[in-house]
Amino acid sequence: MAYDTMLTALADPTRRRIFETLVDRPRNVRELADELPVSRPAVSQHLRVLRDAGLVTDRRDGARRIHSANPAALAELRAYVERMWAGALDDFAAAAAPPPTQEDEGHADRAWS
Amino acid sequence: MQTEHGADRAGEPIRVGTIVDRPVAETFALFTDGLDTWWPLHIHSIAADTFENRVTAESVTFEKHVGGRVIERMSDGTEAAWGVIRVWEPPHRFVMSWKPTLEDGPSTEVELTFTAAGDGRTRIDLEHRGWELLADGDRKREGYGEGWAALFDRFSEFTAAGRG
Repeated sequence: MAYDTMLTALADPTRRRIFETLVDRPRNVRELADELPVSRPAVSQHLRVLRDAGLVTDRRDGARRIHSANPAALAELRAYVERMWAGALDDFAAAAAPPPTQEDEGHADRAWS
Repeated sequence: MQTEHGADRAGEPIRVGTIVDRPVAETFALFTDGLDTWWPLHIHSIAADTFENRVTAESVTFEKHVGGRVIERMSDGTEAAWGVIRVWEPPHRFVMSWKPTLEDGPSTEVELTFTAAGDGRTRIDLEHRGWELLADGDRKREGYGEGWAALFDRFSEFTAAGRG
């Protein structure tokens, strides 16, 4: 699940409205189209983007397909960003570590300077 | 109470920090001018995320002034901005918008501060914030925009409820 895929999916106001509606409770396409000012084909298209981003999952219930918000998705996004920065700062700290010099070998003597 | 699940923090900034054994000015310069010498570009770059390293990120340059961009240059000559500098106060602080993607969409914001930590060392604090900036303008006008932070909170409550 890519950071930018998820953010881009939620940046669209209609998709976010659909996502929020699914956070409320799982629904099928017809219910979403009835409740929101969006046609069924458009709902299906938005759901595909949300599913590709990992934000929504679906399951079959007889002839219907029920869509649910994925409870772990936003927590994963947050954890991903946190890991990215922690890793980057570790890399920075490693790059910023001064190379060992002769003075570090135990012969540093301020009196000489 | 959602505290045990950390849900009350869900929309808050992400904060990480470290201390390095270098003076502030040197640290700031290495972090910005020298970013492409230490940043894990093979993992975190537009080339890696968007082009799956079919092209590689070769350099990252700070246009060092407010309004300047932070630009990734790729092996095929493509240039793309990670964001735009909003505060530029070398060697102690900078703030930039953060949208390291070619897709349209809103930005979050990253602030770096560099503070002397004694003995020639520097403390670096990073804050990634502004999740609520993802709130869409149209939504706000229509009166049902709660913002990204609120969405995080609601979603975390939902997650916690699902566990209970």
